[in-house]
Amino acid sequence: MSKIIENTSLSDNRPPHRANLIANDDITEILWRKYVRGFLSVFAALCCSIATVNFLINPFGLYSTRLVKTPQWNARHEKATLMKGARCQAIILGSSHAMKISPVEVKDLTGFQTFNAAVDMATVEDEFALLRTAVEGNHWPLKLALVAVDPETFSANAPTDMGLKRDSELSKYVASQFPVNFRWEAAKALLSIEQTSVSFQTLNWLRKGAPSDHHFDVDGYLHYDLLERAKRTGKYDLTAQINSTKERMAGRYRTIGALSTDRQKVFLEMLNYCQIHGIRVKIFILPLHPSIRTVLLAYRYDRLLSETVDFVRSAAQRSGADFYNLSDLRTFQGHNDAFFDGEHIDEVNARLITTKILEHEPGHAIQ
Amino acid sequence: MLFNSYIFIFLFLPFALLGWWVLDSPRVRLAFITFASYVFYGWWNWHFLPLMIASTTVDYIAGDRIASSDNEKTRKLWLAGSLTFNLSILGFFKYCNFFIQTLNTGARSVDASWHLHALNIILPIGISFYTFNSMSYTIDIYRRIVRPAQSPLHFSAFVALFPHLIAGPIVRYSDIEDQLARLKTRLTHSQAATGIFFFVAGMTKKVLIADRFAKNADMLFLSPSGAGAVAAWAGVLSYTFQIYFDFSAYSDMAVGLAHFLGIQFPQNFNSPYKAVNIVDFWRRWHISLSTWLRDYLFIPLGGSRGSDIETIRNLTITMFLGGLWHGADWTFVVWGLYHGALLAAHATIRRWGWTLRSTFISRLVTFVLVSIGWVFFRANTFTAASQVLRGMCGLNGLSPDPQYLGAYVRLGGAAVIIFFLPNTWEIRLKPNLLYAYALAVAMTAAVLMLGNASPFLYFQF
Repeated sequence: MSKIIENTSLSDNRPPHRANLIANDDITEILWRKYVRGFLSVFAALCCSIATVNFLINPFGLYSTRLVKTPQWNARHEKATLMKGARCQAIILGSSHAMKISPVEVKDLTGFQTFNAAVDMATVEDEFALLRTAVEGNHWPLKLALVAVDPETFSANAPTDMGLKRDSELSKYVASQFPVNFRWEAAKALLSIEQTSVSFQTLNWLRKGAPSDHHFDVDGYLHYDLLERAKRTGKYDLTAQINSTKERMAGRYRTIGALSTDRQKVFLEMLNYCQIHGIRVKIFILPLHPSIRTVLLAYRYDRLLSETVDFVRSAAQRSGADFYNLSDLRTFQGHNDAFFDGEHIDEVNARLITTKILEHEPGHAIQ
Repeated sequence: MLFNSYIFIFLFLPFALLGWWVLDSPRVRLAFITFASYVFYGWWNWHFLPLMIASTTVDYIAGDRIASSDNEKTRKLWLAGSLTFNLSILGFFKYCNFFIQTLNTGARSVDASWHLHALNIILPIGISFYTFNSMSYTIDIYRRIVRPAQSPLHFSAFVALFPHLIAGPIVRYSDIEDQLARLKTRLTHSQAATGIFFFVAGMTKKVLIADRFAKNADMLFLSPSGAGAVAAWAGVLSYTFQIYFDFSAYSDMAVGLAHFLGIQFPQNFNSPYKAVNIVDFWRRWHISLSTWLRDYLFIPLGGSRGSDIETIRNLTITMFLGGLWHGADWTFVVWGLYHGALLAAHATIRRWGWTLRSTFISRLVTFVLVSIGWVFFRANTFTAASQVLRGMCGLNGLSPDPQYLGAYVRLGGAAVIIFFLPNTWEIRLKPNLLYAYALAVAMTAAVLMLGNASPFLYFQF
C-alpha cells in the first residue's frame, strides 16, 4: 500500500524508495489488471469519440469531410472562394478587426471596386497570400491595398493558420518562411479543446436549428447577424461583451513575446511586391477598446505596439506607402461605444477610419 | 520535448515503452532507453547533446578511476577534475553573462571606461539538473557510498533517463543503482496503475490548475507599478500556487513515467505549504535539491555542528548557492539569502526555546514568509520586486476590483487542495474501476487542453 510519508527530522528527510509502490498483499494483480485496462479503454474510447466527432463535423475545414453545414469559423476558404467571383481594383487586408471596413465606402471614396479580404487571426503571411491570390490567381488589376496591422500580425509565436495551408488556392502563395506540417497539425487538432468546443456547439446549433451568427457579403464585408440584431433592438450589452474579450486578448498577448523577424521580412517582401505591381499601399493600425488596452498593459501591449509602429512606419517610408497609426480613438475622432466587443470595431468607427485614410484620395474629391 | 505535448504522449512514450519492455537483453534495453532519452533531449536542440555525452563520459571515467585507486591523492585529483568539468560547463553556459553583466555594472559604478560584451550563449535545457545528478555520482564514489556503474551503458542510462532529465527530481545513482543493475523484465499491473495515477495527477495539476494561475501572476509581475493590495496579493498568491502545482506536477509525471519503466524515483514534494516552519518547508519543497545541498554543501561546510555563527554562515552560503543554482540573476541570490536568513532566524529562535503553539498560526506564518520570498524569485528586477512588495503592504491602497473576484475564488479552491487534501504520495490507490474511469476522464480533459499548455516553469533553471 502506498503510505503517508512523514519527514520529521532534518537528517532523515529522504523518502523511502518504496514509498508509493503498491504492495499486493491483499489485492490481487487481477484487480489491478482490470484497473489498468479500464483506464486505457475509457481513455482510448473518449479520445477516439472526440476525434471522430471533430473529424465528421470538421468545423475548421481541416479534413475532407463535409457531413454537416457548419458555422464558418475560419474565413480563409470562404474569402478565397468569394474572390474567385470578383474583379476588383482595391483590396482590404487585415484581421477580423478590419472586417467591418466597408468595400462600398471605399469605392465611394476612391472609385475602385473593392473587396474585403480580412481574415480572422491574420498574420503577415495571410495578408501576402491573399494579395497574391488576387493578383496572380484571379488576375485582378489592383491599384490600391488597404493593409490593417497590429502587433499580432507580427507575433513571434503565433503559428501559421492551418486554414491558409489547407486552402488549395491560398496554399500556393504561403511565404516560404512558414512551412507547416499540416498533417501533424490537423491530427493534433482532432484532440484540441478549440475544435471540440466548436464541434459540440455546431451539434447544439443543428439540434436547435439556430442560424449562423455571421455571414459575408459577396464583397467580403462582414455582418454579425446576431450582434447587429441585438444592437438594433437595443438589447446589446457592450460592457459584457468587452469583459468577455479581456481574458481572450490577455491570453493572446501573453504568447506574442516579441515581433517575428521572419514576419517582418515577409511584410517588406509584400510592400516590395506591391511596388513592382504598381499597387499603392495604405497601412493602418486599428484601435482596441480603451479598457482592453488597459488590461493589455500587463502584457507589454504598449511596447509591442510601439515596436510595430516604428517598424511599419519605417517600412512604409522606404516603400512609398502611407501609414496611419489609428490605435488611439482620438486620432480619428472614434467612439468608445462603437465596438462590438473589446477588439472589434463596428461600422461607425469603421466608417470614420475609412474616411480618415482615404480623405485625400482623388476619388474622395470627386464625391 | 515536453511531457505535456501530443508528440510525447501519443508517439514518444508508447514507442519508448514498447521498446523497453519488448527487448530482452538488459544491455540492449539500456542502450535503447539511453538512445530514446537522447532523442527526447535532442528534440529541443540536438546541438547540446554532445555536451551531455561529454559530461557523462568524463564522470564515468572519473568515477571508475576514483573507485579503482587506493591512493588518496589520485582519488582527489579525479574528483576535482570531474567537479571542475561539471562546474565549468555550468558556469560557462549559465553564469558567464551574469558575471559579465555584474562586472559591467561594477565598472559603471566606479566610472571605469571599459565594458565587456555579453556572449551569445543559449542555456542548454536541464543542464543544472544533469550536472548535479552527475556530480553526486563521483562524490558518492569518492566517499565510498556507491560502487561505480557496472558499465558506461548503466551510467549513461542513469544520466539521460528521460523522466528526470530536464527538470528533475535530482536522482542520485544510489537511488536507482540496484534497479538499473536488476532491470525488471515485466511491468506489473500494480506498478502500471501507480504510474498512471502519478502521470495523470501531474498532467491534471499542470494543465488544469497551474496554468490557470499564470494570468494573474503575469499581470502583476509584468506591470507591478502602482498595484493595490488586492491585485498584489492576488498576483503573488497566484504565483505561489502556480509554482507549486507546476513543479510538483512535473515531479509527479516524472515519478509516473519512471514507474512505467519499472523504476522508482524518490519523492520530491511533500505538501510544502503545510510546513509549520521554514526548516520544515525545506524538508518538503524540492526535496531532491534540498537534500543534495545538505549532503554535498551544508554538511561538508560544517553543518550545524559548530557555533551559532558558524551554523548561520553555513546556512547562508548554502542558500546563497541554492538561489544561484535556480538562475543567474541577483534576484535569485536574494531569494536564496532571504531563505538563508529565515533558516538562521529559525535556528536562533529554536535555541531560545521560542515556538508557536498553534499549528494553524505556524503554517500561516510560514506560508506568508515563503510567499514573500517568491516575489524575489519571480520578479525580473529589484525595482519590480519592491513595487510588488509595496503593493502587498498596501502602500498603493487596496484598489479592490471585481476582476480579481475570480482570481480569489480560484485561489480559495487551490488553497483547499493544498492545505486540506492529501498530496499525490499520500493518496491510497485502490483497484477500483471507478477511479480508473475518473483518471481516464481527467487525462482526456488534460489532453484536450494541451494546445494551450505552457512549458514547465522549472525548465528555465
